[in-house]
Amino acid sequence: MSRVRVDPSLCEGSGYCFGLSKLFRETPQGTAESAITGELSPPQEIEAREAEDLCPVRAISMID
Amino acid sequence: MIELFDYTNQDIIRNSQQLTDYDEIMEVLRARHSFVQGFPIAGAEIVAGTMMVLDGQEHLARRRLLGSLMSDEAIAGNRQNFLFPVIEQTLEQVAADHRDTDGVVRADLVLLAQRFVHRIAARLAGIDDLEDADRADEFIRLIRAIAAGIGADWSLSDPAGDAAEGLKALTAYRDHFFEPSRTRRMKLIDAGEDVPDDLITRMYSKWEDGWDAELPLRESAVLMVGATQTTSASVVLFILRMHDWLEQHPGHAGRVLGEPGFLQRAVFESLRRTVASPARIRRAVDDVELSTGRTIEAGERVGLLFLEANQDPSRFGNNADGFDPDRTITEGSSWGLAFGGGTHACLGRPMITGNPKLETEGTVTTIVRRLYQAGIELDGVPQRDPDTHYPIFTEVPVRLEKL
Repeated sequence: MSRVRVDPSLCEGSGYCFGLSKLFRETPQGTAESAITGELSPPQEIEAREAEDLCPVRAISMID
Repeated sequence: MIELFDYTNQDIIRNSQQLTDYDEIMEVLRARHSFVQGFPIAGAEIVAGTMMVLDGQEHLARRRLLGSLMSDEAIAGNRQNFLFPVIEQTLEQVAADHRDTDGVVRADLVLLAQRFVHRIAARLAGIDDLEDADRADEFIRLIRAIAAGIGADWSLSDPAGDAAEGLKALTAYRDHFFEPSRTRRMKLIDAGEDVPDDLITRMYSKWEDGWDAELPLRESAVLMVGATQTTSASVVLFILRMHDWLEQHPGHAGRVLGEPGFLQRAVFESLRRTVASPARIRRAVDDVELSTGRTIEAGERVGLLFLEANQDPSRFGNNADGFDPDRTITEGSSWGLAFGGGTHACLGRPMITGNPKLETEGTVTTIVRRLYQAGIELDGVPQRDPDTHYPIFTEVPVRLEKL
């Protein structure tokens, strides 16, 4: 099981992650943050990994 | 000599509210609900319907389709399967064709960088058969003409003519390069055989009803332009900037290949001053007030002047308008806004920069490292292209003393 986090120091607000998954949400500054702090279910993990791949600044990390 | 010509008197800029503050620009780039792509673009026919001009859900859907070509796993495969073999093949060709009677290989760095980068990017787009040097050079000529068409708004010579030439080049690109590659993939798809994972394969495998027949052609051309023009120029500019810096800092040449991390840092520093476009134009769809208090009316265009923002001393330190491979910054990326930001951030950035978290090296660093290993030295006066604001060179004579 994995968790997902967004590094706020790297995020530049492409918005892809919260555009494609409710695992992420937009902050008032237009950047992203994780909307779920616990362990991900297998379907959620697939979504999170797509967001990780899509992030142009590699701000999303999966923590096993 | 290696900086942009003045571009701020262009209509495209003068008719926009100009933003030069780094944080204001980032705020606009992140405000995806309030701004859309806003340039008038003389070459609109070339980019119609492509990711470059889409916004909102359409843009996200296209980005999802093509974005994973740039996943860390895909990039690792691309480096092993494309990047390293292309670099060696290109150097072998140059060594065979350009060795002088004194045994030294002399070549044009511009052509060399373009062959490296176009051959690598073509694999991502799905364009085959660029091994032959003459065919590769014809491909490079067409992509450059398409790029000039797309960027015709910035032309210093003939914007309408550049746009028309871009369209002609797109037709030639279709007939000589795109169509044979597309046909090959369609046969493989129809036969249920393995197909290369690239833009052409993805678009024809996941065809959407609303697409016109030539959308993959235009999308592949836009990918080729986006992946090649700034990247090949970055290779050339880096070698020139490092040459000047080493002349001013004698005794540091050994650091280029000998000091871990030096080359990558130096490349990032050079990228900071190598913006893909003098400015990005966005159009406000609502009345907007930025956190600084600046107001932008609905319908108004803003010109985001990346180069000025990338020279902000408060973010990049003193002499931020110069090249300093030892520069350290405390916040954000050392290349600043070189790849844009927000929704339209450069798709290929992870391949160009590598992934610092995984300690993987980027494409530009890998190419210039190999050039230094091949003993690159300037061998004449670089010739600059006078027809563009960009610091693009038409010829940079070099020796490859260890090739």
